[in-house]
Amino acid sequence: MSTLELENLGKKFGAVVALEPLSLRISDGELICLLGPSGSGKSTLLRIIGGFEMPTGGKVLIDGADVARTPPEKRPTAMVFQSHALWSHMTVEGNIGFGLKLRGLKKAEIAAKVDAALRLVGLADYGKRHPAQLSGGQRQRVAIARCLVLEPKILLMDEPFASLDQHLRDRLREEVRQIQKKLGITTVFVTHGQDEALSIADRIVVMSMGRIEQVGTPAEIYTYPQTPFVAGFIGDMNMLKAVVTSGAARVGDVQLDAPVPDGEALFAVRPEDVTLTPSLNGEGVRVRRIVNYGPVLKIEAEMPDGTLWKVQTLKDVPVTEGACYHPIVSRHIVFREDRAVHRVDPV
Amino acid sequence: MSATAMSLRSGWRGLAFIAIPVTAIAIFLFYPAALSIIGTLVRPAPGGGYTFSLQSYIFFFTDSYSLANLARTLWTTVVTLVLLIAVNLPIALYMRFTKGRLAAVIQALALFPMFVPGIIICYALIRYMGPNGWLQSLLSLVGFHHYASPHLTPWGPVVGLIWDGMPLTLLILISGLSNVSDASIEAARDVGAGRLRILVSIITPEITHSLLIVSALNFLGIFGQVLMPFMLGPTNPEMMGPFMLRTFSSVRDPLQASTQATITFLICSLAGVAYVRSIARRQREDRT
Ligand SMILES: Nc1ncnc2c1ncn2[C@@H]1O[C@H](COP(=O)(O)OP(=O)(O)OP(=O)(O)O)[C@@H](O)[C@H]1O
Ligand SMILES: [Mg+2]
Repeated sequence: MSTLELENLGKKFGAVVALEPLSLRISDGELICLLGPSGSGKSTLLRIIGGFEMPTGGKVLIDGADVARTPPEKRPTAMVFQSHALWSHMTVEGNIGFGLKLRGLKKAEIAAKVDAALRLVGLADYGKRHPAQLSGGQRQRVAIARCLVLEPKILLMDEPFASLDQHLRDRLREEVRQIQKKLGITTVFVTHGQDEALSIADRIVVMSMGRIEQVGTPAEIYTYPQTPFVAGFIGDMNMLKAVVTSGAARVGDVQLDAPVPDGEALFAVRPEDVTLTPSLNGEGVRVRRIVNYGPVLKIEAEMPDGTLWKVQTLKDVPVTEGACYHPIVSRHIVFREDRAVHRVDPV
Repeated sequence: MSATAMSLRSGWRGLAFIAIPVTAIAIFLFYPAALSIIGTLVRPAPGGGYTFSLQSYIFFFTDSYSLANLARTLWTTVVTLVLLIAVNLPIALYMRFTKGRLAAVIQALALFPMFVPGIIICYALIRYMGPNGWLQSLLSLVGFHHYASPHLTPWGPVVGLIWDGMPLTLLILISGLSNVSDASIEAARDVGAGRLRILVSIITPEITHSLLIVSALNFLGIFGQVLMPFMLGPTNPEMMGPFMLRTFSSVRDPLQASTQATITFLICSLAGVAYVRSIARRQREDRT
């Protein structure tokens, strides 16, 4: 099927640099999530791939052919917009069939394809309705069907479920993932929800301020963040500043290994990589708050010098508010000058 | 209190709010209008009493002069309406899809006539495009000497009415276009529609409601116009407005003037009905 390659793709809006020149290879059938905070350039990148923005420089190669200057109506891409992109004067069938009609297909052919597309998104009986008569989730399904019916090489989705409630979002996300797998269609999915990215992406592209911070599988991104930004952005993380002297640093009474030259460094520790053991001498951290999250407890603890620790433990570990504990860190990452320079994994 | 009693009560309260304006309209508008309409149908009989008579209408519809005036009025209305939309739709489209200083300047220019009284527009147009006016002088400067002024031809009122109707038309069209989201247009491009296709298949259907309102309101405004046709148009045939005025005050035939007015009213109410129906349908659609 189709591959998508971006080469030195950059975009400026006047003086504003929305995207610094970046390169990325997306293989056939892959689902890529662009993840990043607001204003990081996700939509801009997606809209350049779809042809709605012209890049300031660089190439967009679909199956090796550069389409960077091709208008959207001539590109083999299809885009699902965040909201309200259905044509309200047309029925659901009309919306889905419009592109086919433009391609000059026969009525019977269009009807068959529209029907198949509606079935695919689970709206078989809704063809005659108008968009105003559908729920928000159904509308986005129609929008997806409208894209899929054209059998595009690349499917683009810009926060397609952002306006839906959590429950519906989770369900549609799973459906999209299944459809995408079934059709094997190369997909770029923009989101600023990390749960969304972690749960459906083959690979995640973490973006910040118009730059790619890291590209990797959800597990890689979560476990081995390469920059402090990624470490802090994905999941909960304790970010601790400390000074390294002869291969180790101390945060309170916790010793963290760091076989790097002496000097200041940043340590990232996941809450679930911290275990609390009772402290008899009142040293260590004092538990300030415990929140019960079903199977786990999320604990907030404080060192005497004010350093906050986020800790996550299984529910059956006895912890009480106000008591003191020694934190034991089983895994941490050392950052220096915004790069990961050392990693300590549990033995 | 039960729900129906509640809504009945608030229903009465609502009516109380509109009672004063509705009464005023009834006393000062409907009542005299009804009187004169009835006056055209029920005439004093020669031997005392009243009889029902369509005589004045029969006269109107058999009198070639009256018919010519009606035809001229319809022609002027339709031509002006078509030109108004033809001129304003591209401007509205331009302003909807372009941001920047030029769009703002164009908007200001297009809305300018709203702040100029009609009579001043009339004199300005006469001075500009009338015989020996500015336009003629300017054209002859560049060696063009065959300019024929539209002043006092059927096109005179058309030009004036376009000037006059432009701001309202443009405002309604722009507001209609602002309801067409960028995403829905981009989605159309995405599935392969070119500019013309988008205009025909996406934008126009989405603004039919605005087009209907523009057509109905302008129809009402143009059809009954007195000033522009009186100042800028020919006298024979003439539009219904000046025709009524002259029949009433110069010819001193109030019966025929009321008849002309009733016919004008009936034709205009067709446009009114179209307008009201379009609004009602829109409200129904919004509710679903
Ligand atoms: N048309 C435009 N003109 C000027 N600047 C723009 C334009 N579109 C985007 N930008 C700027 O480019 C940067 C990236 O914007 P973009 O919309 O790609 O962010 P995003 O990651 O999609 O954010 P969000 O999560 O809020 O949608 C922002 O700083 C934004 O202000
Ligand atoms: Mg965005």
